[in-house]
Formats: sequence, structure tokens, C-alpha cells
Amino acid sequence: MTTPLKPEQLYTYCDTTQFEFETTDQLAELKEIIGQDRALQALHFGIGIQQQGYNLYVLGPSGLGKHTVVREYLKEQAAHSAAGADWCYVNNFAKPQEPIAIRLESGQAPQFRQDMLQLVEDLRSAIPSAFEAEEYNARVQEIENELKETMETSFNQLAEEAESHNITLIRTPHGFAFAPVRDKEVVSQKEFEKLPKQDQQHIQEVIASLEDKLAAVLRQQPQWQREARNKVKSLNQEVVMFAAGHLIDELKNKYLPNKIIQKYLDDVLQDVINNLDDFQHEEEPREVMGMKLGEKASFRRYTVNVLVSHADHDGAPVVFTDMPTYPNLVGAVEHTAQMGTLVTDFTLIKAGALHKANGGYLVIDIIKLLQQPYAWEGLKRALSSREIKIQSLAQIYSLISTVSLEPEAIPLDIKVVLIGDRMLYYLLHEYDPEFKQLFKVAADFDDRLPRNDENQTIYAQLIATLLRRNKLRPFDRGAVARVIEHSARLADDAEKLSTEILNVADLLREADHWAAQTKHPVVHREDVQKALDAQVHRQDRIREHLYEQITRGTLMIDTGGAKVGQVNGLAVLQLGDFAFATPSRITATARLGEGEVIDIEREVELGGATHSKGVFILSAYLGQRYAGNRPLSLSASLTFEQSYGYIEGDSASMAELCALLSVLAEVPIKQNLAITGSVNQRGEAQAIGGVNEKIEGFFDICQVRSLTGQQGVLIPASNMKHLMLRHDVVAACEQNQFAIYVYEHVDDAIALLTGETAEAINEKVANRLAELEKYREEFSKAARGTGEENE
Amino acid sequence: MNNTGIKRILVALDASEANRGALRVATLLANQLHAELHALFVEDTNLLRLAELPFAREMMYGSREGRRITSANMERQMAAQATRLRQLVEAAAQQNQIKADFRILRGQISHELCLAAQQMDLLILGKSTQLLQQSLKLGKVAQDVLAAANSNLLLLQYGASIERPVAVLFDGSDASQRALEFATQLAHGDHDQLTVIYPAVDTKRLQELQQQVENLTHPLGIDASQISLSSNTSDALLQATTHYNSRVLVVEAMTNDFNPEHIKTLIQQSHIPVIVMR
Repeated sequence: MTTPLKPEQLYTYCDTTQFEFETTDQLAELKEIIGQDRALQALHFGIGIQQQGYNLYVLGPSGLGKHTVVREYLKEQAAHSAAGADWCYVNNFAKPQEPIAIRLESGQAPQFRQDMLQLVEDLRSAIPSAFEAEEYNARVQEIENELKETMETSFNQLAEEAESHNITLIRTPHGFAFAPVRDKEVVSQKEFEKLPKQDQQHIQEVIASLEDKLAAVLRQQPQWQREARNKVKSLNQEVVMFAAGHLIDELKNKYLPNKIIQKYLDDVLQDVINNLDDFQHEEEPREVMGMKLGEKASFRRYTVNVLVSHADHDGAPVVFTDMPTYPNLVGAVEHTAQMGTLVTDFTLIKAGALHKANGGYLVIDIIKLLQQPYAWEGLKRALSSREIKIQSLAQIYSLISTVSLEPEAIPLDIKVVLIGDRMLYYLLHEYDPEFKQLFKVAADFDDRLPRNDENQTIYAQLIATLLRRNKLRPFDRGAVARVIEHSARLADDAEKLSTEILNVADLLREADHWAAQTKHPVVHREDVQKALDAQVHRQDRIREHLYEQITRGTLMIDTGGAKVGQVNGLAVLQLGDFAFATPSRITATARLGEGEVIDIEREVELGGATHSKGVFILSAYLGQRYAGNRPLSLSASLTFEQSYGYIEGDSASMAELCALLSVLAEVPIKQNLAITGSVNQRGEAQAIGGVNEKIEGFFDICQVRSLTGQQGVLIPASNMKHLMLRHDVVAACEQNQFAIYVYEHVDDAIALLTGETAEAINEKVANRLAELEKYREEFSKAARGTGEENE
Repeated sequence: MNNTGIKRILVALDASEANRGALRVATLLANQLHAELHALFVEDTNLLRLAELPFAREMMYGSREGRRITSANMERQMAAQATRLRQLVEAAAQQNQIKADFRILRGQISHELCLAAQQMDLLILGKSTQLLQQSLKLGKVAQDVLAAANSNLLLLQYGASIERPVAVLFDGSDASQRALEFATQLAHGDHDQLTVIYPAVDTKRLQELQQQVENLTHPLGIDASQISLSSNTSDALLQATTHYNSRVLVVEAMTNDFNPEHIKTLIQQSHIPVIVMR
């Protein structure tokens, strides 16, 4: 175990001899999606199954190309699927507040709208023509004459009857009256009084009788006028039927199988009959106080609001929505301002993404969806009820009381594909009971695939495909190999390749840029390396600053000598996309006590749970290993020196244990070494993350201070397969200027760190603990003696 | 320019809507012909006598029993009517910038109208002022005035107005020449829509009449439509006006071909205003 790893164990090169191409131009385009068989099978299943609730959640870290994969897969599926239906809203003549939804075959809705526009145009021409015809005017005149004759006859009969009694019917300022006449003049009061009483009586009786009859005639007049109006109305209906009926019938025949359209067109005809004036007199735009209120409001009710049409594409719709707000999802009823009032009608109903994707596929980023108020609720409601009901949030939550539209709900037949990370998937699955009912298929995208010859060849094809799509220079074999090696580094595993396509694509673009700078027609390995170095350089300001603090002695890190109870640990910092490590001084102290190991980070709440767990484990190991059958009579404390931030993870637990053993054994630890790894209760080393960054972090500090050949890093043996170290580190190791050691047990680690055997160290620790126990017993006796004396 | 000699127009008013229509037409003509407008409201003595009778009752729309009429009541109603009409006339005169006056007389309506019309060039009167507003029938007052008045007369159907095309019956007499001149004046301005109707006469006479019309209209640049009647009846004349969609008919009161009874029948049956030239 004291032998450092060989250079070839530190970096697994991609063997370019396996490639049969010179440049990526010679590679065919990759059709399949690399390394995502599980996810693709889930996609295939989820899209194929036609049952409620089998919507999909595509999960995986960002950068895997999930969107691209889903888009390409769905487009291919959609191309072979039946086209989605067109939907439109029309006026509900009986209940204008509840517009009617009409389903049409794909691409028919615009034609229906055009047909309705043409119908109205034709009606506006045909109806006035029909009413201007002589026949119509003659028939109206006939009805009017009939009314006049009826009225005149009644009056004439009354007048004639009156005249037969020398009485005249006379018009008064407000009505009619009967008066006795002589020589065409009304009899005066004096003349009347001169008449015999009997004649006076007779005249009054006749006039009273005539007045009753006149009252009856006057009462009948409204009835006659109403009858005449009804006759004119019937005539109008007849004329409209004659003028418009065949136009409507033509349209009904055109849309014969559609029963809703048949009923709608019947309603249109009836409405035209009921609103003949609109057609007989050309309507001017309504105007109030000099402001126009929109034109031809009366004809607006015959328009067709095409909500969704698939006239411009074949196959099922595939909709990607970038802004999944509630109204963008389920649609909205918009309003226009008129005279300071918001008004609306069915023409202002706007489609949402669900409408547009109905009959096909809707793809949404779950994070964007969850960021929009009520959008998630709206989507779930639509999927549960399998219909799209347009309701504003204000309506749903009763924030307004004004009357708005309640458009007829539209049946929903859709596959929703949510794309997001794993955490959100598991959170939703745990906390939202509806989620698991509605999104039953999870397409889990893997972020890594095995690194073998076959996959490396496919990866080369993927690189070639990305290069072509991005119109980049071809890569030679060396450049491809370097990209593959970087992919393994991204995967944090020499035996794996990363599927973070976006990251790889960025590298390709940047390598192409550097190749262009050096006028390389083909991208070489050094161009890729230049791109990688530039990426690091752009992001390593903080790292440089930290390293400077160490080299200037502000942050105290020893890279030489040996000290008791002090060890170099390694901590990884993640800043955005850039991760790096710095050495951190871990110290331990021990004194007489009752067996407690104090984690100072935990005490001051700067340590996370995992870190505390690591310390508890090493305490347990200490007790079990050295004080299995006696009390552990020590009080120890551990801390990360000059650490002022939060510490999480257990990757320093082995370092902490070694520091503690060093202080107990009073054996110094070599400061030219750093150690990483976690320990279990049996003292065994466990793998940790970020091993490459950690090694490089210590190497960088040592390099700045000049490499001595004694410096190195201890890592758990199980981390060996993860090594994809930077080339300068590997080169230093090749030249024996730096070394990487692996260990499997704390005994291996402490031996390497101290230069003594594990047995020797353990003996010293045991002796020290026995000594402490002895002191403790003496103290206990002395304390008991003092107590007895006091009694 | 007024070549018709119509300088004073008398319009008979009562409270009915028909006579308000007559006022509108009178105002229009006074404006067009640059004539004076004289409005006359006759307080009907028959109504005053009626009001004196102890049993007089006024029957109205919407009232089952009617209501008692008294002299005082009738006087008040007539005064109110007169006030309203005066305001209407004054407003119309001011709006159209014409010279107008308003007089009130008391007596028998047709008699007073005929007397007043003697001083006037044109009397405008609703066809039926006494009974039903929309009646085709010629009212008693209109009948009496038609029979007795010496002046030119314009009789209006309820709701009618003076519009183009204008039709005129032309038989070559002096009166018909004046009628043609008047019709020309009315037709002038909007494509000069004029229809000249000739009575049923022999070809030679017709050619003479046509020549006369040509002589009269040609200098004015009017290209009139012309039609000859198949028979000299009021029905034939009405059919001719209907055929040419005429909106006003100008006739002479007494012609060789149409006697007063024809003219009366014509006026009764016509739906358009008829101007009778004397």
C-alpha cells in the first residue's frame, strides 16, 4: 500500500487506434439516442398507451439533451399520428354568455369562418334585395291597406251610424267626440236646450251608445295593429327564408355530418329573421360621444372564432410552451375597454397551449410550470376532468362578481410530457397525490453510460453529429479522444461517459473557436485542451484567490514537515459549473475525559448532518477498537482550522480519525501528504466524491511551493476507478514529483501518514488511553476520598 | 331662383302629427322657393260648441270611459295647442332662416282656410286631419278646401315629404305650364329627376305637347322622362307615377281630360303628395 499508483492508473486515455476514421467527417450521423435505452423505452410506453393518467415525466439532470430527445421523438411519433381536430367558438344565440364550441376536421375551421363571413356578406346583399322587390312592397302595402281599411271601416260605420242620427264624429285635441249637428254645424248649447226634453234625452242616449261603440273600436285598434305587425313579421320570415334559406342550406349541406353546425346554422337563420333590421339597413359603427365603439356589432355575432386550426401542418400537434402561465395553458377570455368599461364576447376567447396541443402532445418544463401561480393546478384540473374549461382565476376564486363568459368546455385528449430534474419528480411524487395519478410514466434519463470501446465509437459518432448540426469544423481522432476523456471526467469516473450533451456541445463549439484562432481546418487534441483550459481559466478567480491566501500563509497549510494531531484534509467547493478543492488543516486535541469526541463544527452549527455522522462513526470506531472492555477516558476535539463556512459531507472523517490517532499516539503526521476518504465503524475506507478535484487541489498548492517528490494524496482504494486527473498531475507523478496512494483501512492510512507501522501506532494509542484511564481512576479515588473526609 | 310665382305659402296646422309633417314640407318649400311662410291655426268653432254641450265626452285611446269636456277645458287645450304650434313655427323659421308668421283664427276650419288662402300662392294641408292619421281617406276639411279654395293646393299624406323624382301632368294649358315650371323647380338639383305625363291624346297632339315640353325644359338643361297615358283616368295616372317611382305629383285643378272628381279620386288614392295648380 505504500507504493504510489502508476501514471496509467491516474488517467484512462481513450485509445485512438480503435477509431477507423481520420476525422469526424467520415462518420455517419448518429440516428439513435445514446445511452438512454431505459428512458426511451419509457417514452415509447408512455406515448403508446392510451389510458387516462399515462402522462410522462422526463427526469434527469439538465444538460442531457432531454428536450431535444423528447422533441425529436414526439415529432416522429406525431408525424405518423392522426391530425388534431380544429376547434372554434361561435355565438350561443340563446345564451350569449355561454359560447358554443364546435369541433371540425383538421384544417376545416378557417374554411368554416370564411364560409360564415361569405354567408353574412351574401345575406347582407340578398335580404335587402328581397325586401326591395316590388312584390314584397306590394304585400306590405296590402297588409297596411287592410289595416287601414279595417280601421276606416269601423270609423266609417260609426260615423255613418252617427250621421243617420244627425250626429257627427269629431276629432278633439286628444281624441274623438260625438256631437249633434244641424246644417253641418255642431248644435250649440242654446239650440240643444231648446229641443224637447225627449229629443235631448234621445240624442244623449244615441251618443252614449255611439261612445260605447267608439270605445270598443279604439280598444280594438292595438289588436288590429298587432295583427298587422304579425302579418308583416310572417311575411318577413317568408321573405328571409326565400332569400337566405338556400344560402344556409348550402352551408348545412357542406358541413352535413356535423350536427352542432347544423343546429348552429338553424339558430343563425332564426336570429337573422329576428334581427332583420340589421340587414335591411346598413349599420353604421356605433358611436358614443364621438367615439366609435367597434364596427358592425350586430354582424360580429355571426363570426367564427377559430380557436385552434391545424391547417398549416400534418400529423398530431406537438406544442412546447416556454411560458406556461395559467391563461397560456388553459386559454383566456380577453376584454376590450369601451367607455371605461371592460367588455367581452365569444370572439375574444383565446386558445391556451392545451387547446393547441389537443389531440397531440404538450411539453412543459416542470420548473417553469411550478413557478406560475395556479398553472399546475389548472393543468391537473384539465387532465383530471379530461376537458378544457376556460375560467379566469378571478372567476374561480370569486375575485370579481361581474358577468363574464363561460365558454363550453372542450374535450381534452392529450399526452403531457413534463421535463424536469429528479428532485422535483420525487418531491411531487411524495407530496402531491394527484401527480402519481396523472403522471404514471417516468422516463428517467441516465447521466452516465459505460465507457467501453463500443460506446466510445458511438460517442465519436455523437460528436460528429453535433459538429454537423452546429456547422463546426471536423475533429480528428485525437480531438475526439480528448472529448471522450473529458466526458469521463464529467462523469467523475474513468469507466463511465457523461451524457451531458449540452456540456459536450459547448466544448465542441469552443474547441472549434480555438481551432479557428490557430487556423486549423480540423480540430486537434490541443484545440480541445485549449478550450478546456480556457473554460477553467474563465472560472477560477476564486480558486486563485484561495491559493494565494495559502501560499502567502494567510491560510495555514503545511506541505512539508510533520506535526502531531494535524493533518491536511481536502474540501471541494462548487461554484456554478466549476468545482475545485483546497487543502484544509484539520487538528485534533485529546485530554482526560469521559469518552466524548467534540466536533467543534457541529457545536457551533457550522457542520452538516453527514459531517456529524462521520465524526460519530470515528468516535464509535475509536471506542470499539481501543476501549472495547473499559471506559474511554478521554475528551477529544476536532476542527477544521480557519474554516468559517458550512461544512458538509463525511469525506474528511478518515483525516479526522488519523489526526485523533496522531494526537493520542503522540506521533507526528507528515504534512507533505493530504488525505481524503470516509471511514466506517470498522475503520474501513469508503469512497468519496470529487476525488480528482481534491487531488488536483493539493497538487496545485504543492506545485506553487515547488514539488519535493515527497508530496502526495491518500485516497480510498475504491476511488481509484474514478481517477481522470489533469495532465500536469499525471506528468508530475510520472516524474516521481508527486504521488497518489490508495488505502483500504485506517491502519494503512495512518501508517502512510506517520511513516510508522499501524501496530506501533495502535500500541501507542492503547497505551495512551490506558494511561488516561489510570489518571481517571486516580482522580476518582481522590475525589471520593475528599468527599468522605467532608462527610 | 323662384320662377313659379309662389311667394307666400300658407300651411294649415292643428295638433296632429300629419300637420307637423305639413309644417316640415312647408318650411322646406319656403326655403327652396325663397317664399314667405304663413302658418295658420284655426280654433274650430264646432269643438267649442261641442264643449258647451252638457253631455260632451272625449273618447281617447287607452281610456274606457272617456272624459267630460267643458268649454273652459277646450279653451285651455286650444290655447296650449296654439302655443306649441307657435313655438314649432318659430323654431322651424329660425332653423331654416325663412320669414314666417303664425296666426290664430276662430271659425269653421275649411271656411277660414279658404278665406286665408285667397291671399296666398300655395296652401299646404294634410289629407286627413280630422280622423285617422294614416287614413287613405280624404278628410272633410281637405275635401271642402279642395272644392272651395282658389289657391294652389298641396295635399300631403301622413308622413310624406317632398322628394324627387317629380311627376307632372302636362296637357299644354296655362295651368299645366305653370305646373311644369313648378315641377321643374322642385326637380332641379338632384339629377333633375322629372317625369312628364301626357294625357291620352292623339299622336299629333302628343307631338305638340312633347315639343312644348322640350321648349320649356331644354333651355334648363333638363332631360325629362316622358310617358303618355293609355286612358285619362286617375288609376292610369297613379300607375304612371308608380311606374316611374315618382315621389310628388303636380297636376292642374281643371283640365279637359281630368275633371275635379278625377282629381279628388286621384288625391284620395295617391300615396304621394299631390300639388294641385289653379
